Amino acid sequence: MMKKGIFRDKKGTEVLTEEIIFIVLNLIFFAALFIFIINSIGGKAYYQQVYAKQLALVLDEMKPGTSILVDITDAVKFAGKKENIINIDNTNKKVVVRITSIGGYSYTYFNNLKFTSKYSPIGDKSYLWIEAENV
Amino acid sequence: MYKKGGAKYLSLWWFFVLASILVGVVAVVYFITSASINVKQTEAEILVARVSECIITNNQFNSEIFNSNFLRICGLNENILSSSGNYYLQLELYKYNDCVFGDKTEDKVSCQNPKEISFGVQNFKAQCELKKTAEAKYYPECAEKYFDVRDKDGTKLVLHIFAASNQVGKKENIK
Repeated sequence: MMKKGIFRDKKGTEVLTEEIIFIVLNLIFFAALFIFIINSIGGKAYYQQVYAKQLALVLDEMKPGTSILVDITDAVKFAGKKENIINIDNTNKKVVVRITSIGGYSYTYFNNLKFTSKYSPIGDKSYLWIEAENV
Repeated sequence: MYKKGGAKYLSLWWFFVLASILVGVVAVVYFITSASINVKQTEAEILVARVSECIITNNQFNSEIFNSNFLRICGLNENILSSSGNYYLQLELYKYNDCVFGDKTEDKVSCQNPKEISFGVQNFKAQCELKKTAEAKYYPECAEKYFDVRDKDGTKLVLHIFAASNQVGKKENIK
């Protein structure tokens, strides 16, 4: 007579092993899925917001005749492109950052100056050159 | 027998897995995309600094600013500050003798009979007062500062600059 209990039952042990493998595979799938989501959407969306808000605050503080160089290496890396990532809308007074493929993020600034920006790579780093002048 | 039983549990398990994936994906996407970085306080502080730097030079205050478009003079955009619904800026000018100073800390200053000029959403000032006593995530963040100044005639004055921001940013559609 076969003894009862999961480790003593040969067929039961086989089923249990299959179930454990199945659970482990599912956990791996879960983890991979969440890492993918965080990397592809989450990180980018977060950085998009950070860039928009930081740049708007920088523009708020700029004075006529001044210029700054902003390191946008991470933004370029995340976006996978060099053009049209960060736009300064002088008409509507807002900074628009587009890093993700699901849309951009904008933040308004209250400085009334006119800003011009230019993508400027230096070495292996990417920068945005911003100049402020009177309207 | 095992195969039949296994298939039964597997389908239940699969239902659980699919439901968990769905809930998990929705939750992660929601929490990540709704995460917000709050820079309202910094914005209000910058606004106070911009205004004070513009209208005070060596402790001398140009009181004519109250009669002119000082936002334009200070290089601030009037449309954004007055009409966007995200900001409040208030300047109050007092005679020095109309003020009572507590223990020399800024928030202990109490003055009367102000000459006032303001732009934007007036409710923000009351909301900032409420925020001092209660948790209010969606209320504006504020900054204020008192300055001892003198006008052109050398009269001692107290200038109070109050600024508030409630800008939260905006998601933009794909271009």
